Amino acid sequence: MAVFAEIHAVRKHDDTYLQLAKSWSKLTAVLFAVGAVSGTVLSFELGILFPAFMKQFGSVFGIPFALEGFAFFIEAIFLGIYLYGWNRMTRLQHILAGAVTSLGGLASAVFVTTANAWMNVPTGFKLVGNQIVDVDPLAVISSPFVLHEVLHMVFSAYLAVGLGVAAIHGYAYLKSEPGLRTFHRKALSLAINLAIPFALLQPIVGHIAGQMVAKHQPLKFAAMERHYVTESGAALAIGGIVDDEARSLRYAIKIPAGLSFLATNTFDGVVRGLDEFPSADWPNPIVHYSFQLMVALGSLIAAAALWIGYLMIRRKTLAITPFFVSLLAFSTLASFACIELGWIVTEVGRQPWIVYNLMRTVQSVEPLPSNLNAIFGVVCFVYSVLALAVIIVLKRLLFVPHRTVNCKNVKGDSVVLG
Amino acid sequence: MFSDKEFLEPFVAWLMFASVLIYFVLGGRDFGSGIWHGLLRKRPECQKLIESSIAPIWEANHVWLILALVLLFTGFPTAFGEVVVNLRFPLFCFLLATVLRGSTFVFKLYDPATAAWSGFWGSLFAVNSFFSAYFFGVIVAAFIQGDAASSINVFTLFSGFLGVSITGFLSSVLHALEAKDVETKRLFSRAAVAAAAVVVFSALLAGVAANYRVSWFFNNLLFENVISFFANSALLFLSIFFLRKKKYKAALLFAICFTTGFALLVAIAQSPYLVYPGITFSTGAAGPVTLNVLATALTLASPFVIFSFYLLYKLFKGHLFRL
Repeated sequence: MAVFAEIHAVRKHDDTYLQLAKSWSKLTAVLFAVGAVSGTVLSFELGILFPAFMKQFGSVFGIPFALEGFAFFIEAIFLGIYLYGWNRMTRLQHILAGAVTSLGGLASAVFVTTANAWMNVPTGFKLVGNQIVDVDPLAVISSPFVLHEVLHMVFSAYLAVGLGVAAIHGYAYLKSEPGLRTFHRKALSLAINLAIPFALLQPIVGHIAGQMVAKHQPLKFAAMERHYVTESGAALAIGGIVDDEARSLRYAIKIPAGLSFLATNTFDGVVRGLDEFPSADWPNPIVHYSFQLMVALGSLIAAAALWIGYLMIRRKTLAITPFFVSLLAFSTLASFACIELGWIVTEVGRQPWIVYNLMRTVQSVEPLPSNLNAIFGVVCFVYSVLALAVIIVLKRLLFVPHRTVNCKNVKGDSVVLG
Repeated sequence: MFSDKEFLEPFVAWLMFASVLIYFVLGGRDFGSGIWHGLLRKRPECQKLIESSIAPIWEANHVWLILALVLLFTGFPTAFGEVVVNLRFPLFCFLLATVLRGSTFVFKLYDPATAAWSGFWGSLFAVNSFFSAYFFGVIVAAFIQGDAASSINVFTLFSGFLGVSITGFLSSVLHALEAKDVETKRLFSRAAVAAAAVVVFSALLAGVAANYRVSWFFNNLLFENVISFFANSALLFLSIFFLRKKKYKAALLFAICFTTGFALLVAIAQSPYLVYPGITFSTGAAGPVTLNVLATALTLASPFVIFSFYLLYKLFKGHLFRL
């Protein structure tokens, strides 16, 4: 987004956008640092917590990770150049460095999600006894789940950040003195323009994702809908409380043949139910609740995006009212919640498998650390404190007046920006 | 691109070693700088120098560790599964320290709050830099030790101090070169001499402990390559010599050569074991297809990564080496 702001600055000869790019790049610096070091934790934890999984599948699972490593390299190198090179290169070079950083970040996200897609639909190797043979690297990174998982994740990330930035600048707009309002207005509209398309595309990708899950992971799909009996013309249940004893969803609204249509594009398509699988393997009901909540919140966000888009087309300038800002704030929280809910659906929904149909999660954690609870406790504590610290620092960065910095403006003259 | 198993296994293993080494020189240097940042808290101008020195490059330096790790768990999954279980405790401490030092460093840089906050972030950054360097040393030693013995003992604990002192030495030599005024240069030169003394002292302690705990390794390190070992140790003294002569570039060059040489000697003493005594390059390796993918990807991607690294260092460190 900082790069978009900088491109805007050059195209419109507008220093406000340059100031915006600087402000956003500071936020990026803080968030990236915390995220990057946490990325190391992730790769170590794979081994610390799932040694048996890594022993068995490391040679396959690692392929997307190796690619991610390179993407991460490029991202980290050019982020350094971008963040600290404002006055050491031409504006165009600087924008290019920023663009390469974003592409590196995008590629990282793609490869990490690819690794997860592979866990859902493992492809590209053969298991003979306990030995991995015939590894086909291209097949490993083109599991049928890659495309929709990657799009769904990347869209949700751009959407959540776009909305979040818009909401923050909306809030600042309401609080700030008139002189600073143009700054926040420009920031808000740039952010919202980036967010709206993703809000509208996301339900479509989500629908495709659902169909792929129905096809490749019937157990997960059944768990998402808490659909008990294999049948054709299955009804779509909305809401409801899971009752595994009675094998029904209590108090749910049922739309006849709706589920069959969503899953198979025909009203009499067969949807496989939980009854096809041993009940000990059924994923936790939280999958169902998370899925329903994600769809509900996602639909609300899409509706809000439609409405905002309509307003922007109809009027030239957006009226930034307290109601509008609250709507943005709600959508931000909802979109971050959706990301987490979606991961709960895909990860808890895959249980009891870590690699679908090949290795159970229980087998993967052998040998289990004896002090798992202590480790978990320390990690939770450290990350809670860290989250709080990040919020405090970001809040200060956003709302404490910026120290002035010397900088070349869009025409190349030295100016002092606040 | 590659098909020969005999070639691939050691090749990927040495690539992995190379990235650990680069991480130790570049990333370790960042740890050392963090430690000096804490020790020099009465000298804000030195702290500023340190901050501006590491800010643009530390994240890129950090990625070498991730690369080494990915190579380890993809190329040598059995070794990874084995080693990580034994190393849980020091790994966990190392991770905690690196996460905290990275985070508190950006907070220190970007938090526009009061001096008290800035000092608070700064001290957390320094303490965690120390523990990052310390546990890095512990992990390397425990890795060498291999088998199921406890990862915490005299050998690993002394090696931790060796990690701290080498990183401290490297960073002070670099800062002596980077400093603009004579007084700061002198200060960091003195710091480097002190750090070098600690390097020698902790190397002696770790050596004695190694002879007792991992005598096979100690024999390989010292007696198999006795000439190279002492030649390499001489580099440390050469670096100090050039520092005293105010030839900072030469001092830095020799400091880097010393560190690289030392790591190389350790790796040679360790090879062909990945995890002593059970797992060697070949018994721990993944199948040839995976190794081929890794080797090919590294060979194709490394020109881009190295070129990007060159751009980064030229931009921020180039002025140091301009004639």
